[in-house]
Amino acid sequence: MGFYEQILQFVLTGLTIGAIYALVALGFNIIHNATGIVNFVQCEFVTLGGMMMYTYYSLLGIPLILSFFLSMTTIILLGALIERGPIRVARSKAIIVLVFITIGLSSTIRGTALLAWGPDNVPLPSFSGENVIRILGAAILPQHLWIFGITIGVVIFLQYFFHRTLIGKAMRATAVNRKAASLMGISVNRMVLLSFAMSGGIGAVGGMIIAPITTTSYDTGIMLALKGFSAAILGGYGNNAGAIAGGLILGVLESLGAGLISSKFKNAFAFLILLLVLFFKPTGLLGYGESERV
Amino acid sequence: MKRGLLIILVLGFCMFSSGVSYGAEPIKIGAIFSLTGPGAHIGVAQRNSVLIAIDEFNKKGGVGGRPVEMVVGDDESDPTKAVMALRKMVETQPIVALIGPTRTDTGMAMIPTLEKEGIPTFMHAGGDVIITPVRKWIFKSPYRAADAMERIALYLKKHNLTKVGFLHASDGFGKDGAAIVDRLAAKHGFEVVAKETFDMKDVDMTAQLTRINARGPRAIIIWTIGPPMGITTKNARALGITVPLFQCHGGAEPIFFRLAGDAAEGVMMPSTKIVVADKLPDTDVQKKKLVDYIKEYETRFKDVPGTMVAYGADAAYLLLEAIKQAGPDRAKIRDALEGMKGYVGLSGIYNLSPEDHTGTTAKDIALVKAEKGRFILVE
Repeated sequence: MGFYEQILQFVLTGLTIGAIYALVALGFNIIHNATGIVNFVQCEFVTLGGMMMYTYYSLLGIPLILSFFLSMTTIILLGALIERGPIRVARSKAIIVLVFITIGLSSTIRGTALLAWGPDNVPLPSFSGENVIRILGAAILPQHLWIFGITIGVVIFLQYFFHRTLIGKAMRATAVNRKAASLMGISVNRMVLLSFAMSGGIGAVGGMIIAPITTTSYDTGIMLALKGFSAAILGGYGNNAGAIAGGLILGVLESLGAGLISSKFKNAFAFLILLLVLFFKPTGLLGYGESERV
Repeated sequence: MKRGLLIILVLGFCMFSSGVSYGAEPIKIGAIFSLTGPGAHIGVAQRNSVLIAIDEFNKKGGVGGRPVEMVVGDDESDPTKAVMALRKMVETQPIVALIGPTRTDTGMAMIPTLEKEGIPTFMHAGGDVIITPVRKWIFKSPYRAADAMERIALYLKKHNLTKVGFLHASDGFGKDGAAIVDRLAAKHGFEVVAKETFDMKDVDMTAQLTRINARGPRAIIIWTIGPPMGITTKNARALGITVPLFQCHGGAEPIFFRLAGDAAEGVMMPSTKIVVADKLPDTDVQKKKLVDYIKEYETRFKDVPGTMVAYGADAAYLLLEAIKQAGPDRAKIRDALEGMKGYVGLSGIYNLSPEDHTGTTAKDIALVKAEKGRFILVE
């Protein structure tokens, strides 16, 4: 493999993993915009997406595509349940209280997942075979194309939803100013509920599309969510375009760093860039500050 | 409130009464495994393997009528948690010896405490740093990593594969392997053309493999356990790498096929004979023991034993034999362990001595290859 093919390989690989970071980052953003909190259950949304799909497909024998949507629906319901339950019931709406509730929920769900599925990694089949595809000398799997395709699909859907539909616009209005939104007749509670459901769905999709490449277990979400969170910060927390850019940049930098400099610094490299951005532009690459978070 | 108190009382009573034993006072041995985290697939199998050995031992009468009881702890594959689990065990349970832990990192973290407390310990960890230099109280049952890699080196030499890429985890076991490969390269005249690392929690190693592949290796050795075994194998095949791939001496596990899928085909690794027991010649001294043990394991745990089960069982059998000879006395158990000679185990023939706390040699090691969902002997 020549030098340019290698670079292409690093970039393609980085974009794939970066797409997952971007999805996770989007999940963080949506809830942040609706409630102002960092939702730690995002890790579990990613984990459970993969594990539920494994349950439906491998344990219950439901066809792959149906398992995909069933799993997504399950996690959407779980997201909604979390909002309807602990988050809404909590008397104090202080950010710090809500954040701690999500930390508690995250540990609880992870523990339950460990009991339910055991500690082993489990495989999921690729969506369409494992024949290597060559692009200008670089090799990728069909699953990588699925990851790109589905991520782009999710992004287009979100773009349409937030800018073309009434509910989406209502959610944006809530993000800008809760009080004003509720005075306009927007049910803020319903918007928050919807944000948890959507985050759950997006997190689950991320967990499901990466699982055929990496296998999945009760704690796969942690590392992905950590990187996804970094991606969200990198792009400007709360900014959706920033989340996508942040995810892709982080993924590509990691891959290039590991490939061209040294794999010893793979993780350090990405976080170093993150630190530099935060030093010189604390709001993140595409962040404008507090007033325009969507 | 009253009801809460009642529940606490009942629970307390249950806990208390379960502690009452009706036979002779059991002798307690500690056991710490990676029951969760990246080492879990090994830790759980090892716990099972030790359970079989202990039950068999107790059925035969234990130590003069006293049964041996295992106190289990989970280190979550994490060195800090391993030390915490050990401390808790040492302070609350009168253990005479310890089995485990599963990983090199967790083992290394526990060594200072074990040496200070003077607890004879049979570890399941793969890395050689555990027993180099020889430590008074520490033994390990898996093959020396150097012996295992030598098995690979001999294959490379025979097939004239002189350029080798080395990919390893950045944990203690991986670094141990990275040091060994350099020594063996000098000894057997092959060249390590690239050496790359990854984190145990990483989900993609394509970049590292691309870098290795660019240097034109004729074979690639991957030194890790757990999920990265599968990910590295899949990534390598996805890159179209067709040179022989080797995994470490902890790789011959049934889970390897689940983790690596179709990519597993053709991957080679040093292993105990447990995964190829049915194909051994009847003259093999280990065969009967292996076949019987596998049957017992499969009936009891409904799972196929991998190479780690053999290491786990041998550590238990050797330790139990030492306890039987020496009685429940830590120092005497340690001395008895050092005197074990010619013990025919599942992994090989163990000859322990004050200079050698592993006891197996390169001759005990089989080189196996993954083929159609099972392992076959290579040569």
